[in-house]
Amino acid sequence: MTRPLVELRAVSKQFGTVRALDGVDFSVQRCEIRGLLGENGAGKSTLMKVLYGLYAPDSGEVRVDGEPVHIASPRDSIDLGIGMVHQVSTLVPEFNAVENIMMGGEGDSFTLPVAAVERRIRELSDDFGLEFPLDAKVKGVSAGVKQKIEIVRALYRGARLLILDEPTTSLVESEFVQLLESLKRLVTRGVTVIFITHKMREVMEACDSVTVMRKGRVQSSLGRGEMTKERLVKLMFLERDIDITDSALPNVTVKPTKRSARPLLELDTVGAPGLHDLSFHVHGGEIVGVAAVSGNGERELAEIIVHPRNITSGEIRVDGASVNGLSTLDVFAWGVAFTPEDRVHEGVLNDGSIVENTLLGHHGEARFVSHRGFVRWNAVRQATRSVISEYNVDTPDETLAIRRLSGGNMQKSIIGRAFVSDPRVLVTHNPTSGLDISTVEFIFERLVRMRTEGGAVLWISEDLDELMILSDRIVVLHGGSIAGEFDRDRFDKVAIGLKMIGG
Amino acid sequence: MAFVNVLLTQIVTYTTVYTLASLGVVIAGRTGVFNVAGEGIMLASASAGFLAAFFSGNWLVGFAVGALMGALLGAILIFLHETFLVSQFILGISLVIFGSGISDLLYKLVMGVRLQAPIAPATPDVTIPLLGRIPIVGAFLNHDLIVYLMYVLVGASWWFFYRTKRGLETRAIGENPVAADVVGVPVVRRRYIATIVGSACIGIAGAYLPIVIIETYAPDIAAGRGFMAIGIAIFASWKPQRAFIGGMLFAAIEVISFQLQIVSDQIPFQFFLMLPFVAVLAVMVLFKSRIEFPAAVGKPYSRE
Repeated sequence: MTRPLVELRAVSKQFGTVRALDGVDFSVQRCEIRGLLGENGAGKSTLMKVLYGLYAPDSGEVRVDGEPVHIASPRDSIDLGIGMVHQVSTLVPEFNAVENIMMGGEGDSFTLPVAAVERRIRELSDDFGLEFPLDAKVKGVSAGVKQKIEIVRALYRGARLLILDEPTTSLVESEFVQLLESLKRLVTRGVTVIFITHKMREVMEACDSVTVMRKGRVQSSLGRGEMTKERLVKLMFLERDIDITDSALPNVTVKPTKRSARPLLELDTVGAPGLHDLSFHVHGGEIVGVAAVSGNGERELAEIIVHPRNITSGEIRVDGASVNGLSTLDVFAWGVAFTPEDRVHEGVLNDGSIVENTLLGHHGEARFVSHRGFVRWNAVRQATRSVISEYNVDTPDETLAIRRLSGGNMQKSIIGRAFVSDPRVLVTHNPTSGLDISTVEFIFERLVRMRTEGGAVLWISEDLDELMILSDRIVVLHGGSIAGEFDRDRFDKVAIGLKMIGG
Repeated sequence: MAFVNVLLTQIVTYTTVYTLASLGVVIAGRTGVFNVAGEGIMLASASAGFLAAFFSGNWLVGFAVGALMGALLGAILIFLHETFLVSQFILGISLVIFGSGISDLLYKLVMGVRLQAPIAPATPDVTIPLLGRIPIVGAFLNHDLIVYLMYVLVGASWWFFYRTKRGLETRAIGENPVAADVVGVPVVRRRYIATIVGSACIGIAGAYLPIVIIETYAPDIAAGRGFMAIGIAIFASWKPQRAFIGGMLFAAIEVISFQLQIVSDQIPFQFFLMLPFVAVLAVMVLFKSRIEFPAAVGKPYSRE
């Protein structure tokens, strides 16, 4: 066996009281696509950030080409030929692609050799099938294009090892296929790729080998031939048995329930900015999925239900009573709960504690806020503690700033918050985006429980596979109007997908 | 025509103060440091700079000490911010109070009480042959060296920020420090440099008031100009070339309101003193939609 390109030995890293990495050994051979698989918080990103010089390890050793190296900052790792494409875009939105790519690196400090850089970028993009506009400001381009820019930037700076952190989070299927093709081309040209993901399907399709991490430790590394879905699940979750569907989603059984006679949520020819003439209803004991490609009115739909002041025509009724013109807090008082699409920016106050965040949306309720406006913190703390225990939020205590939770734990605390006051109607927008399979399963089960208990769930998602597992009906939204409605017995991925893109 | 020229010459003198001070805010702001200590830095530098010029008898020494005082206060600000992650605004306001206190204290300790106001050493004007004799153009040219320094600094910082790779990287820090960090730009080091250089500019602006404009020291000599410099930086969307235009605008308002004070005996002079501040508000309201901020200005940055 040849000497590995990169080797990490016994690397440990602690954040406060959390052991993010616990004596991790990890090595990569040249010219392969190595998957790094694990659920959220398993330590995948942390491990790679150590390798990239963003985190200093508490102990352990990094070797490149067999030589021990000290990587104190990204500058060092770039010099060693390591490039990283982060989960969240690290481009400057105000700059164009060329400006973003030429930043950093040695030389040319007091000139701006735009033409030369452009030429080199063109060569690289032609070589690897990574085309993008060079002089458009990055803030206006899609997530897929941003990713291409970041990959080319790493190559521009001579990366031999390319680390991709959850590269598919915001890609659509066709972009994923394209990415895969480019990665394969990279590998044939001598580049090594580390592909961080929590999705088994991607590992199976993209990777030559895989390393599975769990709770800050490496579980095992498998070659192409040894990878099976069952084996990977077992390595990821160990003690827990998760039933998996073909699309590598948790399989949750949905039993028939009794629908309430009267719909709990009704939209009657509702018009609003970005929405035209929407009519549908959700009964108690029902999960209705709203399938829409992002940008087709799904955000507006969620917003108009929790903020019906902007209705321009029609009526929204909750349990038979019109909520038109009510404030968000009043809508919540009617028994509606909401979890927004973008948990970090819309779901929480990042610097607030979990307790403070749990109060949000319930701050109109007398049991939490007295009529004089004083917060009953004891009651809020109590509620928060039960959210933390009931939803397995992994945190030392409830006073932690919520931004310090991992994505999955943050989402669990948001979902838990929605259920604090037993809502009759839940509006939830992409509740599972970016979460690992065990958290997804947990959220699925919570939605099903609400349905069993007679609640009405309106579930907006881009992920048709997910919607088809749980929904009693799927409403397709296209261009702000309803393009179709499918009952469970008529679910057909192709037909629904076609409606989603306006076919 | 002669009157216009005199007026314009005077406006350029004041433009130097406003532009240098707001340039200092702009430079630091480009790395994400919102330096609101300008008023304090100007006051402290005015006092220290004037004393140095007076006792050495050399105006140049005065400006050097003024710049150093500015750099020192800037260094304190950025050190406390980067090391202890204290809010930039709290530090800035603290330094305003500190600067206004230290300026009078320093002057009284060193100078004591004098019956006759001490006069600053003269700053020689540098005239440009031919060009300097053209009306209007000449008003921009026949000045002391600090005015020329201001032109050079505006031009140089524009060139640096928009025509060099290092400037591009530095702007990136103010837009998205994470983005700069991951490509190996030394974020903290650049923030130190920008804040210290910027504060030195503000210090020179402060020293200009006692050494050139009133030629002696007076309490509260900055008179709010350090705050207006922040307004100019915002109005300028944090661009050096626009800071010059903004500086001229506010200098013009100040100079014209002096002239109006002289010619009108009906309106109380306080009304005219107020005008520059009203102008700041008016400009903010009028240009609100066109103002762009570096996205990360005022925000602390740490990796973990």
